[in-house]
Amino acid sequence: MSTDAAVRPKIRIESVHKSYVIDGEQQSVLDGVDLTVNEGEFVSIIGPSGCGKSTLLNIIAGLDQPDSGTVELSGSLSGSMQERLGRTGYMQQKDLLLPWRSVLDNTALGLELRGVPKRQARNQALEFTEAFGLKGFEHLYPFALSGGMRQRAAFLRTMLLDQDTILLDEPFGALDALTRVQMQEWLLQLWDSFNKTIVLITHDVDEALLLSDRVYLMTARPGRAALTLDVPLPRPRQYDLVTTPGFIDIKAKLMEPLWSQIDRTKPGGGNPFSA
Amino acid sequence: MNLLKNILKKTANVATWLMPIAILIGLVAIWELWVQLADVPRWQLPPPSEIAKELVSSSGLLWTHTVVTLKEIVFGFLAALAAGLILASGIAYSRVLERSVYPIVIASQTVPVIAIAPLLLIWVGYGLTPKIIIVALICFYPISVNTVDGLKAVDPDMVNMLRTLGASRWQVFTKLQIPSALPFIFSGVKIGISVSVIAAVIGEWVGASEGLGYLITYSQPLFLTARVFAAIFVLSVMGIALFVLAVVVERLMMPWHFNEKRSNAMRQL
Repeated sequence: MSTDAAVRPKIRIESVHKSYVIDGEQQSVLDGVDLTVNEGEFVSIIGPSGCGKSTLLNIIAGLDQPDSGTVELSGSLSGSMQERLGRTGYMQQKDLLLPWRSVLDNTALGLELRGVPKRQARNQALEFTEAFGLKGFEHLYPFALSGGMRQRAAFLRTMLLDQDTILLDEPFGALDALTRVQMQEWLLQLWDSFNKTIVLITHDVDEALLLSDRVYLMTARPGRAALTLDVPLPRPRQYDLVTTPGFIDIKAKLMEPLWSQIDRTKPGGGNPFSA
Repeated sequence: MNLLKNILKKTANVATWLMPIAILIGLVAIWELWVQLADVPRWQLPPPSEIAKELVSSSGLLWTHTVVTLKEIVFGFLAALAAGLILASGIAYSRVLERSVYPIVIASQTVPVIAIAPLLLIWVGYGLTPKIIIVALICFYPISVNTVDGLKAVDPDMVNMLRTLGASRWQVFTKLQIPSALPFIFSGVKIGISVSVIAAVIGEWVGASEGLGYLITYSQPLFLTARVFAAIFVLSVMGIALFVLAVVVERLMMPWHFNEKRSNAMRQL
């Protein structure tokens, strides 16, 4: 829901196909996916397990290559993985902190890789530890931290590189419900103040609606964008929004096509959100 | 509460140390009693007390030979460490080296190093060098193979994370692969250090004029059995000391590794 006069697409994906050999069989994972994310937008992708959401992010991040289709970043065609690598900030479900580095050194890793001297990288990271709820924990090893803190440290590592576009692959998936809500509110605040383009993959309908300007619903494998839903709720938002009638209305619109994908004849097994 | 916990922990630690020591003392006591009571000839099996006496009376002699053997071990081990790390890095870094050199490294292990020892005498003579080479050859295998495994066992998700942060291949190697291989490298180092003592003794047996292995082969025909035992005792003390040294270095270099293991274990309690 960008109100900019000139809406510039930050990410544009057109008819991307990707298949893998799974169990000795060529299986299509992405079957002609189109996706556009405009500058400054917060877009969520929601869909059943195994619908290729992560594959899609890997393609955008430059970790994977589509079989066919085009990927544009910031308006320029980015055909090879090399052209895309390092253009976006990418944070995965696992925090992937290096166990031998302190929290601070983990957050400064990206800057270090760019050639920023270690001391300077640390100082830059230190400026943000308070905003990321890591103050006082900078010199601990990751194992001593809670799950939420580890995620925030991984998030700071991603944010410090100051990429315009941030890809988030179920960053709160491994957290308990309460911590997840805290993290969502925190991310809302952060997004308000940082003005980034964000693509979030999630299983969580409330999370998708609460955070996003737009939600893409993907079908079960092979994945395709089945539905695009604008979320015209006012900002700044807070978590209590999820119980308001306006929110419930939009949620109903999203739930209907979601439920239609669930095979209700199979107890549990047909639930696309299991696993 | 904490104090109690600490005391309990300390006693548990002491208990884990006391058990093997008590068993060892028991075995030595039985040995002593048996030799004394059954009147076993001293040249066949001297009692521990006599070995202890020998350790004291020949301490100067033992020390001279200990220094020689220790030198062989240290130089040989360090050579193996350097060569092992460099070659393993090459194998883990380059597919060509992995395909061409790694199979040879593994196959080389089937060549009995003991059988090469006499050849080394022909090639490089009787000095320290052939023993250093034997120690290095024997230590090289566990160090290099473990290092290769460690460098390759890196978490692919971590590699991808680094790549999205813009890391080059070399940065992935230095910032991720090497530190994550450290536990493997130390496994190799500990195995290598344990066999290095054996390697040095073998090297001296084949042909030497000094060293604890030489002292054993020299004393045995003279039926100086207590001296043989004394030399064996010094060798095993040396082996244990070197192993402990490796463990200390390991803990200093990887504090995160041990704290992490401990905190995971505590969580499971």
